[in-house]
Amino acid sequence: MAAVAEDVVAIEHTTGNAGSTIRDRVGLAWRPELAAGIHLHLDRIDALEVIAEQWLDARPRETAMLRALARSRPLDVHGVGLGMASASPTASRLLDRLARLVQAVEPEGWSEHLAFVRAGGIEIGHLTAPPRTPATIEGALHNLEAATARVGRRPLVENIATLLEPPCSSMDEAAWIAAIVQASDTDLLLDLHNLYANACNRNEDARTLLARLPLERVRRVHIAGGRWETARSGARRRLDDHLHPTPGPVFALLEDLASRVSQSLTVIVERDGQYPPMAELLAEMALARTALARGRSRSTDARAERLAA
Amino acid sequence: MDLLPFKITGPWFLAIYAVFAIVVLIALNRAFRTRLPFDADAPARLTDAYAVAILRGGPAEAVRVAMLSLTHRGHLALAGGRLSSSPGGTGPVTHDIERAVAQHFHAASDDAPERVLRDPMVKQAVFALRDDLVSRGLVVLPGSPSTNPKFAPSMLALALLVGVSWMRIVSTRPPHLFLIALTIMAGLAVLVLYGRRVTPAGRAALVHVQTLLGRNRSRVDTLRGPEHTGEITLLAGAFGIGVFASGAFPWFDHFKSQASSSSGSSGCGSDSSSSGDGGGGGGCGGD
Repeated sequence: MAAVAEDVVAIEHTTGNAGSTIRDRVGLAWRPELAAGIHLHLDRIDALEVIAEQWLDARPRETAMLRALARSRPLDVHGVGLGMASASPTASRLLDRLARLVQAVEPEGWSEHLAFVRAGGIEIGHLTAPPRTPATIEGALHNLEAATARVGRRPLVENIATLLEPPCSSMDEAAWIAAIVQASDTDLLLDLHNLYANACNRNEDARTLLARLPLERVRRVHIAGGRWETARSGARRRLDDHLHPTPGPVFALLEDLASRVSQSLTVIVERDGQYPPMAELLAEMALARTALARGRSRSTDARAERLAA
Repeated sequence: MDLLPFKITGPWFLAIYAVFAIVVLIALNRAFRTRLPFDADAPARLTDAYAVAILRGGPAEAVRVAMLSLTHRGHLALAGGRLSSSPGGTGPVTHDIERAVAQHFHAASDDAPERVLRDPMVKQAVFALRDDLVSRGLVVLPGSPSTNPKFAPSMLALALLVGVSWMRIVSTRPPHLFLIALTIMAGLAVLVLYGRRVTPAGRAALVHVQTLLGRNRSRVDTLRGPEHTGEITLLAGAFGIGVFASGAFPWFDHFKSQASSSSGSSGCGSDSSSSGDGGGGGGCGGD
């Protein structure tokens, strides 16, 4: 059974046969623009996530503040610039600075994207999907191993959104992600809007794509919004822009995910511009809690039906 | 009086006395930290903008922030260059300080925060919050020696500084003018340390909230509507009215000039700048 209360943030679910407790959390991506609002409503936010690159040059006072924040709420450091899924090694200076930040802040975890951001010494400035091939899997495994060694803990890896299927790919997205996650023994930070956008842009069913991922590895979830763009050809594409509220289909995917897994999930609502009043973000978090509760409830019902049968 | 330092003559004794005074002041500061312990990794979480304002600038600053918050929501309005009560406000007035300040402006249009603070209802609300900060160990009241953990070490430091100086004066011939001046300066430094309202825990809590909001500060002018009043009030509490750009709000210049004139006339306490991140403009206060 799921219990959701307005002021009780984490949701507890007791699973059927094992009687173990699942503790789902819903939090917010920390952005400077939201700092005051987050501070005022911290009691209603289960977890936080900060962008690593925004704090690499932090003053000691800022690092101390983040450490204090990490003690008051589960906090993750989220990298965007390492380029884990690249045939070339990650930038070692950047990795060193990120390692120092993680060691100073002592977050609950840290994460990076399965993307490439530089090649041949040129920074792209964008999270880009690499060709899905055994070679990029090999590169990602090497980079994840190096990052783990340098930072001292294994990162979670996040799936990215792409408008175009990466050329020269020999594998599909789900198989490619599963291969990396399983071979590297990392957990997955599943971005449901990225998944939704990719499925839309490939004319696939998002739920089918979700089912093909290694869901037992999902520990963290990102939800965000985006917009539709129409190409000159008339084709519609879904852009992950983090400027809009999380759409209904993403909440449906979250519910589906919660019904399929038995581990606790931490869901982070992301917003990177056009910041609404905090009340709207808190309402979005409440919708995420509802979706989680529904999913867990479905899971419990299904288990009960199996037992009855 | 055969003790070695007392045999030293002239400027050398003054130099040794100055070093002695510095050592006493450092020891005093350490004694304060020992008697007022705090965990730097777990600073008190202050979500009440008025508590933050009291820590930063004193009770009058809390009144100023309440006036700003009420004006932003339309409960107070500028008329003829003065603030007065307005019926068209949005959002409830729930905080005790806001209620008391709003009540004050129903009957008066006297709008300098220092004068508004003299209103018995306002004073009661603000001082209740200040007393809460005292009970949480974030503020000490220098005026109550029996409950002030800084009192005993401060008196001991004063006794040491004056005692050594007095022994020198009675054991040597004049002139003692420089020594007396040095003793007075060291004594004043002790009194300044003693008079600091904000404890190390209070300072850590204030620095934490200011650092947390530091990057929000540069984007504060994107927060406009009444749905952002909570954030605006907290930012004003943490940094003072100087956090807003000139012209950010129609009433801004009135508050700005009021803050400038009050800080010019009354002389700000040292606590308002204790964090180094203070926003200025209205960071004046003290008990």
